[in-house]
Amino acid sequence: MQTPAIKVRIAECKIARAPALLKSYGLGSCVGVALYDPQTRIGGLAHILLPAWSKAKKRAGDLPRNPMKYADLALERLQEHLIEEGCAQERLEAKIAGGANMFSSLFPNPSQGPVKPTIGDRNVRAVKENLKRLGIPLRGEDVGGEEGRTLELDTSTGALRITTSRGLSRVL
Amino acid sequence: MAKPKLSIMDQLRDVHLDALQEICNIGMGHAATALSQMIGKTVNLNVPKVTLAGLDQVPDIIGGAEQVVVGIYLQVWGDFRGNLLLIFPRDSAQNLNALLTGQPATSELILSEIHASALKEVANILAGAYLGAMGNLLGLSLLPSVPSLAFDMAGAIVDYILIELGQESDLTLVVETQFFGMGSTIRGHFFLLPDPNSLKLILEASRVEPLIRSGRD
Repeated sequence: MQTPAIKVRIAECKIARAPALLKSYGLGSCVGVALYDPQTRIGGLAHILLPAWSKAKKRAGDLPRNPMKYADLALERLQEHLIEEGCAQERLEAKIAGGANMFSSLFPNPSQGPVKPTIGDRNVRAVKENLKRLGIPLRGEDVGGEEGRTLELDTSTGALRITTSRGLSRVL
Repeated sequence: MAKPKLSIMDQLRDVHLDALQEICNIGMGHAATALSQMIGKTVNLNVPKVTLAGLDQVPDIIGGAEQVVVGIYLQVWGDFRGNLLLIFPRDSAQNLNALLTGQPATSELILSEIHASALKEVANILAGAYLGAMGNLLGLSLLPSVPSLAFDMAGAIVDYILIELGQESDLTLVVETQFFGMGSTIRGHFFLLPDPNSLKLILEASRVEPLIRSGRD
C-alpha cells in the first residue's frame, strides 16, 4: 500500500507519525531539515528559505508573521512541536539537504568580491549552527552543488530520500 | 508582541495592479516584436496577468515545483532593482531551440552549449525590449544584467528569487505573460518580480494614487 505523502511547501514545517511520508518538492537554495525520533517514529520536515530573523527585532520581541521562513526560528519551533508530540529531546536527530546554487554563472559583481558565499551556502551554515545550538546531532547531509532536489522523509524508518531532476536518487 | 509593520505589498490595491498590468502590456508588446524579428515568425502574446501571490504559491503558478523547466534569470539594474525570470517548459524550450539553431535536442536532460546560449540570447532580446519600453514609458532607466540559465525543477529555479524577496515580505508580485505561436508549440512565461522598494518607484512614476493616503480615507 502506498503511504500518502504530506506536502511541505516553501517556508512550511510539518510533523507526522509513522507511517507517513513528508515531502518537499524542488528545493534549490532553500534547505530542507528533517528531524526524527527513531523510538516514537515521529518526524518533522522544515523547508527553510532564509538563514535568520533579524537579531535586533528578535530582542525587541518583534516576530515575523511566518517564523518558518527562518532557520533559527523554524528549528526552534520544530524541536518544540516534536517534544510536545512525545519525542525525547536527546533522541532527536537531523538530516539536511539543499542549499544549491542554481545559477552558477551568476553575474560577477566586482563590488562584492568574488568569494561572497551564495545564499545556499549561508542557509546551510545557519542550519548547522542552529542544530548545534539546539543540541541536535547531524546524521547526514546532501548539500550544495548546482542541482535542485526533492526530499522525502519516511517516518517509518527515518530515511531521507533525495531525488534530482536528472532522475538520480540517494538516501540519507 | 509588536504588530508587524505593513509592507508595500500589503498596501497594493486593484488600481495599482491595473496600472502595472498596463505598463507590462506595453513592455511585452515590444518584447514580442523583437522576438518575432529574431526568428522571422509571428509571436503572439496574451495580456499579462498581474497577481499578488504568497511566496509559497509561486512554484504552482509556474506549473508545479517538480516540473522540469528552463529558467533564464536576469537582474534589473538602473533606476530600480528587480528580477526577471523567463520560464520555458522543457518541450517548448526544445521546440524553440530547434527553430533557432536548426539542431534538434540531443538529450532530454542536458542542454547543449549552443542551445543554452540561444535561449539566453532570446532572454536578452526579450528583456532588453521589455525594459526599454517600460523605461521609456515611466521615464526611468532600466537595464538587464547578463542572463543566467538553469535547467532544473521549477521550484529550485524560483526559490533563489523568493529568498531575496522573502527578506522583505511574504507576498510577491508576479507579472505573467504567455507567448505562443512561432509555427510550433512554444509556450513561455515571463515574470517580473520587482523589489518592494522599486515597486513604489514604478507606481509613483506611473502616477496612480499614492500608496499611503493622508487625511481622509
